[in-house]
Amino acid sequence: MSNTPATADSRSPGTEDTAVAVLQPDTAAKAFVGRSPGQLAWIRLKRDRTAFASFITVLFFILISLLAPLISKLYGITATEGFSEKLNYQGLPTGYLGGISGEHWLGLEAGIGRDLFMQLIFGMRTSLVIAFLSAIISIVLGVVLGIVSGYFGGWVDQALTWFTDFMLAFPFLVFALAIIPIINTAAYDVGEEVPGTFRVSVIIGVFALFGWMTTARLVRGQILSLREREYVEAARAAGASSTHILFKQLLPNIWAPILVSFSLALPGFIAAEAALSFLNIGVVEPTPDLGRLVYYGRQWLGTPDWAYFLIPASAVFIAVLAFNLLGDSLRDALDPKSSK
Amino acid sequence: MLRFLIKRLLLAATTLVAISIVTFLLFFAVPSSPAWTQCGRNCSPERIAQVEQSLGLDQPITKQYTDFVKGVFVGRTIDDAGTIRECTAPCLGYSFRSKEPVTDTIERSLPVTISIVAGAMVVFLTVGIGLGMLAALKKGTVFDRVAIGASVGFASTQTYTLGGVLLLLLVYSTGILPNPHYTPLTENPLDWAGGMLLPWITLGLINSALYARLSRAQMIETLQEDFVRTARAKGLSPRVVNRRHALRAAITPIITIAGVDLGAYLGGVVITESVFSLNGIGREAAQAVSDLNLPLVMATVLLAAFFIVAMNIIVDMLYAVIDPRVRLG
Amino acid sequence: MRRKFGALPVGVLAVALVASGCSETTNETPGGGNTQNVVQTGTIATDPAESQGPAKAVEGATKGGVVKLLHAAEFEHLDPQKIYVSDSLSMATQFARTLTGYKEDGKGNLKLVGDLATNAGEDVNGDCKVWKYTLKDGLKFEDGTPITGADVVYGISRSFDPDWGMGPLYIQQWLTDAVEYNTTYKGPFKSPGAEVPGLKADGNVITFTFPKPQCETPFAVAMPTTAPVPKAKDTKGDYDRKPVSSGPYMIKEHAYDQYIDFVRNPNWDPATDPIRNAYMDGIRVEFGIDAETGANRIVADAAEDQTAFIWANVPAAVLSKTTSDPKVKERVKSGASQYVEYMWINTDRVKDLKVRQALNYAVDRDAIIKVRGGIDQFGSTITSPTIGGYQNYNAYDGGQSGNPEKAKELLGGKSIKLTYAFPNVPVRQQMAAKSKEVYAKAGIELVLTPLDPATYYDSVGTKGNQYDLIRGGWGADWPSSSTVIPALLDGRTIRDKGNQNLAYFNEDEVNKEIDRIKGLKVAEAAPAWAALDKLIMEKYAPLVPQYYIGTYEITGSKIGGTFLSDSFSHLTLNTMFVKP
Repeated sequence: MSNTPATADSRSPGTEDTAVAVLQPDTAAKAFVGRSPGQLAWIRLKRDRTAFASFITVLFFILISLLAPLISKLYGITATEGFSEKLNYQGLPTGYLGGISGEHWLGLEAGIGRDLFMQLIFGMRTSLVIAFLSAIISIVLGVVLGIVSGYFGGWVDQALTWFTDFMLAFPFLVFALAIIPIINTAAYDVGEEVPGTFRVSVIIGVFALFGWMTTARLVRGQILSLREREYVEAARAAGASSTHILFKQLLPNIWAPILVSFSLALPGFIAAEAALSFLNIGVVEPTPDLGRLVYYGRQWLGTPDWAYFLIPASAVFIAVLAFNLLGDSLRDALDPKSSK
Repeated sequence: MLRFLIKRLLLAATTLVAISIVTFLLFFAVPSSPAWTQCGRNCSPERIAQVEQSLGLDQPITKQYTDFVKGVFVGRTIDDAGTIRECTAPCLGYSFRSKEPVTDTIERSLPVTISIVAGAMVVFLTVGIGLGMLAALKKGTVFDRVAIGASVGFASTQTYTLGGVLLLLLVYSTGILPNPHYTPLTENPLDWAGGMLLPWITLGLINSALYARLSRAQMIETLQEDFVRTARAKGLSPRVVNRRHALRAAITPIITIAGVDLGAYLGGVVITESVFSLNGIGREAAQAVSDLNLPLVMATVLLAAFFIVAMNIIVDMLYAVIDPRVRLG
Repeated sequence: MRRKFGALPVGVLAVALVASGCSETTNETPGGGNTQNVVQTGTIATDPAESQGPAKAVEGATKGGVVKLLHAAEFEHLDPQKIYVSDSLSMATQFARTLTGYKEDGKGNLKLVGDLATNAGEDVNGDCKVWKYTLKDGLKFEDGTPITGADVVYGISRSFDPDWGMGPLYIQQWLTDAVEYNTTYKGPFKSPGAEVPGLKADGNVITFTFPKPQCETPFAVAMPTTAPVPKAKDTKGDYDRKPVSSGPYMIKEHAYDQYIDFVRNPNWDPATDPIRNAYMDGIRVEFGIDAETGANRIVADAAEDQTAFIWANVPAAVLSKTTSDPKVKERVKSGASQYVEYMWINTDRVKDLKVRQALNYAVDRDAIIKVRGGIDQFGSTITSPTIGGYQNYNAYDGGQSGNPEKAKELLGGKSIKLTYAFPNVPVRQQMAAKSKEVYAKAGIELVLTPLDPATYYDSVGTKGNQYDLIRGGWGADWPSSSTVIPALLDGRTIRDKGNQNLAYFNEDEVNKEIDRIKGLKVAEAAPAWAALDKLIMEKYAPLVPQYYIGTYEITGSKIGGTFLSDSFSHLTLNTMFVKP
């Protein structure tokens, strides 16, 4: 029920809510009142100003991530360029607020002297790629395993349920600590450069491996309650194939909770990715990364260069908050009971 | 009930065995030998071989695994560079680094983690559930909005950022709270609580938020259920309805989630322990991984898995007891 | 739908800002402070009176109180024969006395005196081959048993154990005149009854007989290898947890990874000790407190941390907190250390001297030093200024920030690609990223290969490894180049694994010169080493010296009397006291 890889102690805020959905397996199915549930949800969502604001924020983050190389060109500075000459003898950016100036909009990184704005948007790019891909892969895995488990039942179900429990019992962080370096060293020869993209893929892989269980449980529960419904029985009696029943009859009826889990998994993965840097198994230099930026900046709290902490930390906070709010609104919109 | 319990216990045992095997295999996939971490940087290949032998690493992996299993049930004798050491059952192995049975390491660090988790749990369950329930009853009011608004906000922070901010504000700058530290509860209860206050507050703030949102949603849902409406229709006062009927029904799923969370936390809260410099089981585990200290890795992974599995079983049992609708089979 | 979120959570972050105000950061370099900028030569005391106790009183010192060391991780070892890391070495000075020891005054005067022994050593025949040490009277272990020559010999014998090769190896290798010193004698556990070759104890007299002249013996016996161990109380592997004390403090309680409580050793007699004042009643070491937390706590100076100190550099991020407030600043002790940071150039792979020289020209030491907060000093020599006979030079002078143009010129327009290995820890990652950026200006592309820190030296110390450039650092064991250049650059020591010569550098000319200088007396050897240092860099450039690693430590407001020890580069406990 809980325990996504969003780290042992700072979990994805979505997890508990999906857990509730497990306990209330047939909420989505009660929605039929003339208009399609999709239409209803859309109407509710449109009325929600918080949802709109979060959506715009999320969109903004996605856009600057996508456009980062273009912004860099216009801005005239790259993410890896250093400005050590603008640091004082202690490595502190000279000027105010960590060296904020017309040239460096968000100042410089202390010590290493790179442009913070560039690090931030390229770092955001890395973080969002990790979060989105991890969420997509883990949701797909969860849906497939959940459907298989719920629909086929019997020993398949038992085996998959056991496997789900098994994966949930693994302490995620310890496992990640152990496996991430192993994969990185094993995949490449000594002395060969491990490309940044590969390191990022490993993180995504580990997240996906530990992120599908909640969705699988949720979907299994939904399928269990749906497969005995009349329309499924009817389809089966009419000789429809399993594939047809699964994908044409069942899946369309459970997309709502899946969408909600997806949107709530995203902020969890953003936070978790930052936590990896804290344990020194995250994305390494020179690939820019938002989580690592927060980790570096964290120490500078309470010094003249506190902006080094505040700027990346706020970016993570706002991104996570926006995704959370959007996820919440989405759930409220899709769940007819909560919108009174 | 009993049949269910036995079945669950058996399944749990297979899970633990599977986890131990995976951890073992994983460890042997590590390209470098843990002997290097023992031998220092001025180390000849001959000496490496000797260290490997004394750690038992020259044995085939299956032999090492069966030795491990044997140690758990009957204990074993370990030859540590000429020093013969008895490791009595349950022997989870002998730490390469601290040169002691890993059970000793766990005995030292587990109370730290339990202290963090137990206190934080009390904070976030009372504050979180309390706020959530109140918000549900006062749905739509200013109180509801502020409580839920703040909760989404805190839920969007993380231990490593909120913890750092609180450390600066409450400890380094103002000295309002003492430095986070661990004193055994039995030694000085006040000092114990004082040293744990900041981790409790941090974990409390972040998780209260989660529980507040959760319990609010549960409560709202419960208030709309038929049995609550019936109770209300019978003419019972809102107080009685809310307390006796709705609260009980709403709290059940939350307790189960709290139970599962407790299991996950007891295995170690790595980030919290690192942020507040507390040497709990999570930090030991992380250290063990970077030291390639297999016995300690095994022990901490198994312990964490054990807590999770055990809490899951307990929660299921509890659920059946509290909620008559659930039948175990 | 009714949510409208106020500024509540944002408020929390806003408060954090207030804590640190908003002022301009300027580019001024401060002067003065407690910076110890000394070039010490480490003389050997000739007057036996200097080896007599008690230690000279420290002005204003008072007895009593307990000091607290906030330390990141458990000491690697406490067994004197296994100790070799600077923090353990510093700690050992308080529970493991050795034949000789360093007497310091905090002003750069470092004198080697007799500690357990009555003097710094007697060169019996004047040829540096036979050294005689006589123990003082009244020396006792913590349990009251007297310390005899046999205990010292037993201690040294333990260091021969093949499983225990983690301590210094000088004495063992000198006694046997062999790199693999334990092929015949394997220590008291594996060769019971056998005698340590060349080592004899007769009552209170200990005699070392070396096959070859070893003129630096007085320094070598200052390492904890010569700490006495009572055979009857030797718990072998467990001795590492709780060694028997011969110094002013002994371990009362040791909870591994959590804390150690040192209390006074009632059987230590100050009259026998010329080095230690032992003002405090106890020393508590708390583990698991990283440098960042430790420094922040000590800067904050809460009541419980006023008697605390750290044996780690204040991290870059916390530095500004220690310089902005003069009251905090006066609690800082900073200065040079014997450690030098290198970027090794694997000469097996980078055979072109021009490339190696280009790497030396292009290095931007100023930028690299800033990454660590500016506490290190610009350095272009192999040995540090704390070494006797040190001579400053820069064989490839590119100015403070390097000269990428000159490097390009040397490369003749070629663009080259080199792999750079470093341990995967945050600060090394940042420094590597900085190096990559710096070398890019000279047309040299660095491929960053972060390695697992636990097995870093395993990977880079293997001959035939795939790395072109390797991060490394080295500190002298005593103020002589003899513990630097032969250890690092003697090509005949290269083996399959476990190398310290990470350049895999092997030149006959250098090897021969090493042999020649080793035969010289200390005073003649020092300038010869300095000349060899320069020759290696000018002619072969097998490494890029990056900077002299600085020390920057801080104490709570109630700690007095301490300074940075030149022997171990940490705050000394010998003269430390708690202010009333």
